[in-house]
Amino acid sequence: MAIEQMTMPQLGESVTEGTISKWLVAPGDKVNKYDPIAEVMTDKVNAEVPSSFTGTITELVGEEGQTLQVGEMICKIETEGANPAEQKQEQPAASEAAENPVAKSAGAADQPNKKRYSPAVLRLAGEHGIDLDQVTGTGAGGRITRKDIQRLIETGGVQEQNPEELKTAAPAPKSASKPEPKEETSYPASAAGDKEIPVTGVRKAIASNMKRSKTEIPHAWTMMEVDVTNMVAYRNSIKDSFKKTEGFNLTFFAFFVKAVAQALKEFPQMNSMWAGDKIIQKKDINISIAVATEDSLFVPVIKNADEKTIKGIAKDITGLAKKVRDGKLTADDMQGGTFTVNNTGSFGSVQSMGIINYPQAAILQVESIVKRPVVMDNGMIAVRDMVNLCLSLDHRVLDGLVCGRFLGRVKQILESIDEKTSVY
Amino acid sequence: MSTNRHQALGLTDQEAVDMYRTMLLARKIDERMWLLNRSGKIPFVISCQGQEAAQVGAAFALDREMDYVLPYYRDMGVVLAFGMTAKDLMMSGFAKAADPNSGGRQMPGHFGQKKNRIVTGSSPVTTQVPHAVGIALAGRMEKKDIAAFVTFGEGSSNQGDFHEGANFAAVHKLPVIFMCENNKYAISVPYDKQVACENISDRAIGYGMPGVTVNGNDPLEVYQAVKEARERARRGEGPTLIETISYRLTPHSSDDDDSSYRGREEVEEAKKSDPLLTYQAYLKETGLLSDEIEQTMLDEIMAIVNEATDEAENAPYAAPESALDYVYAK
Repeated sequence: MAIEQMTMPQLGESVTEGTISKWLVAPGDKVNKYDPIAEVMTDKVNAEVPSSFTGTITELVGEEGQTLQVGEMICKIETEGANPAEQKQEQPAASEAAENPVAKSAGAADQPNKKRYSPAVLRLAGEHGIDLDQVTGTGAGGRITRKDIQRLIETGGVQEQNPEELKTAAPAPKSASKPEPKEETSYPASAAGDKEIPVTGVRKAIASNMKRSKTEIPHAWTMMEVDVTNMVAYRNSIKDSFKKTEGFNLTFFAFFVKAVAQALKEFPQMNSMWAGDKIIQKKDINISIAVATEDSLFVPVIKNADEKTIKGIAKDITGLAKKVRDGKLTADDMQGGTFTVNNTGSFGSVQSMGIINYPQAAILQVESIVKRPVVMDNGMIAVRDMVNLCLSLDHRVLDGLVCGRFLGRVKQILESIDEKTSVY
Repeated sequence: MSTNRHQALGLTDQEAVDMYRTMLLARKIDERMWLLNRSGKIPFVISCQGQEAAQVGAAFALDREMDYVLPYYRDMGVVLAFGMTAKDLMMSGFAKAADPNSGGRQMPGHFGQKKNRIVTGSSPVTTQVPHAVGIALAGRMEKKDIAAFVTFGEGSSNQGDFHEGANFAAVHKLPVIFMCENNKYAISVPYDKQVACENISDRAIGYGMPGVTVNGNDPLEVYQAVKEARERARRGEGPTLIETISYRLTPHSSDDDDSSYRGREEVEEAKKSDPLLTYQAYLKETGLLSDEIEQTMLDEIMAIVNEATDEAENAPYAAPESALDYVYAK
């Protein structure tokens, strides 16, 4: 009896990771060698991964939707009467490899690429007098990457060869390719009766994007209120005939997106991205719109929104929303956004603080249109359709003044929409 | 009832069954290689699946003691018929030192084995065509009765190498058999986007040699065509261009996702004419194969494949120092 590990196979040259799209087995299942155990998705191919052993599945380490580096363990299989030779090959002694830099067969199975140096690595190491035997590679198969060397140079010198460290650092290039600092956070434990929902797929992407945005970008916030009484009256007056002729709804949101696109053209600072030592002002105005489903959130993109009519934008919104509902959104539909408009008003919010859609510089929340008593210029009180526009901004890129002017311009455009405005 | 076609072609019952056995062995080795690739044990697979009948039918029509073959990367059926073993192929798949093709240096599918007159090829496609013509010329100069058999895909037939080789061979009436294994796709490019002519064999007349198109799913039809070409070569009448029509049942390689360029229905439809099924049906109709015989054959083949897999998996890699061998003469 022995416990064997199945690892994420390299499904194609230059493929470095795979996502488990579906487990075909569960703990306790008996499998034969070459029986399919999981469906795995990679940049290149989608494939069924067969078992390398005959035995019983004892543990699924990777979850569905989880992306694992090539070589990381995905499950454990208990085999009967395992062949010791085979075992040795599967679980090579890492310490041996560490103590003996001229890796022989055992070590080679472990870090077969340790001694395959790229010209860039050789040159950098030569220039900085780094002994490559002393370096732990984080690339596939223990290969030393240019980044490994650069990190060494930045942190000042060669790592001391610490056998303990090498032992533990051995096979999984997990901590490797993404050198994220270890999370110290302690998570709550679930109590009896609680429901545990695994974090997979889109939820995971949302979590990491939000965290990245909120931790990297210094957010500032501002709000302006806009009187859209005339716009509401106008839209309501053409709503039915528009639906009849065009076949889709003319929503208020289309008017807002159009106004934002137009104002962005006049304030290109708002349509930009922080890029470390520079700010990139984007030429194209591509508006990301947030579309929610029951349990997730997508931000498809209306490309070149400034060149489109209100009708054109309404059509894009309808099309993208349908794709989200049908699960047919493509990667291309979500790429290239330069500014986000979020329709928080759709569920009744009147004020909200959006998290910027990384790496954009700002996000505008369009809140609910509500009827409110407003003191007009002539001192009279009137019932008006009012809406709050809330703007979150990257304070590295933008300051209050330009944002205020931009919002003011959006307000001006919206307040001037009336029956003389064309949606075509 | 079907007629006994193999006897009419001069094939014994044993040879007819051996052809099937070789096709089945090629298929099973190929299938195993996919499993090994998908479990992360071998880096790359490029398949013969769907083309076994053309490959094996052709190889059986040659003089397997004398002739030279210059296979292209899918020709597992050809090299098995010419004496390469399952173990040899697995050693290549695992890139082990004992790989007779290149000692683990080349990618799988770069077949080469001197003792069996299988001539190694380069990765750029079609380079083997002029080589085949050169070998035929050498045979002529040395007054040997040999033919050079060279295969390539229909995509390769658009390369300059093909033109140069075909032209030279025809001008000098050299004993070359050009066999185009038309599997309808050049990686992702379908036939009608590769060539404007109806058949690849239409090109033969332009070089002044006969050209035929045969059903690549029928090993006997391919056997007949290659047999005739071999006899022309022997008589000094020059080269022949044979086109075998079959279908690539797998993606281009283990690194390819074919669902992005061809429909599943198309592949399923092609599987109905899988040469292993149709030829098996023929052998059963002629009484050469029964379920029992087939099962025994399959068990034997799986034992061979399993043994080859285990042996290759546990075999040593080439020593790093050997990387420079064969680069300079010693």
